[in-house]
Amino acid sequence: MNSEHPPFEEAWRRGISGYEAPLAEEDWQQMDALLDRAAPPAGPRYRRWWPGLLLVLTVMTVLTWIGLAPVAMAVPEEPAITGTTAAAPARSAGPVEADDPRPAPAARVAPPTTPLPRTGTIVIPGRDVTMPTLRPSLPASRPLPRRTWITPLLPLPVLPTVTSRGPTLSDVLEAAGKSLIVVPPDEDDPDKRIHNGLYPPIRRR
Amino acid sequence: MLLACVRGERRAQEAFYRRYFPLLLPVCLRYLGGRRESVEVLNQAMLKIFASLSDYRGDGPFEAWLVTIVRHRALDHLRREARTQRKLADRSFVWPASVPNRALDQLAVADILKLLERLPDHLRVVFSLFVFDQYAHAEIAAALGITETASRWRLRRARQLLQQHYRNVNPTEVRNYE
Repeated sequence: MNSEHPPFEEAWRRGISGYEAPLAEEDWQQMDALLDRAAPPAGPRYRRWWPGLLLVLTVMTVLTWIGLAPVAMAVPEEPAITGTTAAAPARSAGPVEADDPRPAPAARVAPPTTPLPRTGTIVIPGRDVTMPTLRPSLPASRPLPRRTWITPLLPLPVLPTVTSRGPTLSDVLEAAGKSLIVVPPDEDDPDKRIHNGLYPPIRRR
Repeated sequence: MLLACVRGERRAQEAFYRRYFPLLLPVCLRYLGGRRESVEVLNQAMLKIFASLSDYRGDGPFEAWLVTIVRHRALDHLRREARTQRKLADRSFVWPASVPNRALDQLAVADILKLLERLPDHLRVVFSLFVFDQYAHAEIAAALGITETASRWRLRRARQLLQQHYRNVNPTEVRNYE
């Protein structure tokens, strides 16, 4: 016993240690009700698991619907863009000198059929620059997964998708025997600075 | 009886309850004060005991194991009450009219419990842990999440409140245990 204890604390400790509290009948009744509430629910077991089953079915239905939605936008067999840059209106071709005759249409619409390499390096025609591909570890050609799932109830519009890179404008011009001259944007001339919205103006030599 | 309690047989649980209730209720009373609140906490502790009976390995006395569970439940209850109601320091100590005007060391247990009930909660719990369970201040501080200094201050304050009346009925007592 701690020597700092006053005498009455020792007497209290002895008295409390041997004390037994009387039990009232309502004490057990209260405990009995508590045991009833804490006990697992009686009755058939399905009462316990059917809400969970309903939840799982609901989630699976939603997930199935979400999973079917992209079927209408499946990737087509052929690349959607083939030489569209060359077939675009003349506003993307830049200024052309008047004494230079235009090439025959057949030469413009014939795109190069050699696909760009996905591994190794890319040689840009007419610009003596060799660039590595962005992801050399990517497999050379990996077939796109083809989905043959059930068509959804509501048809969705088929949107054009780009699956591979088509010929660039420089490729087309190179095939036509022309080359590009890149003119740096003129900060004072807003027409040149925002030419075509995307590219600086090009001039045919 | 213990195996039947583990299986959830209500008759065995009632026998267990009636047997250990007189021993365990005073544990709650000396921490919580009021009987109704103490019985509620004790019943919650009994649920825990019934669920944990299979974990008792017989390492120590069975009754000490029961008391430990009840004590922890009572302290948890006090901590929740302290967070929600902040009533710990709001009550002042008043000598109960039903307790006879007698020296502290001559009081009956029922009167001792009445005095403890009048103590503020944060003083009563420290006083009970130190006096009845003989915890050290470091153990009290760890159990209640307070500092040792706070534990010492609460014990000293509880003794002051109790001994004010003690000095009144024993004017020759000169010792001061604060």
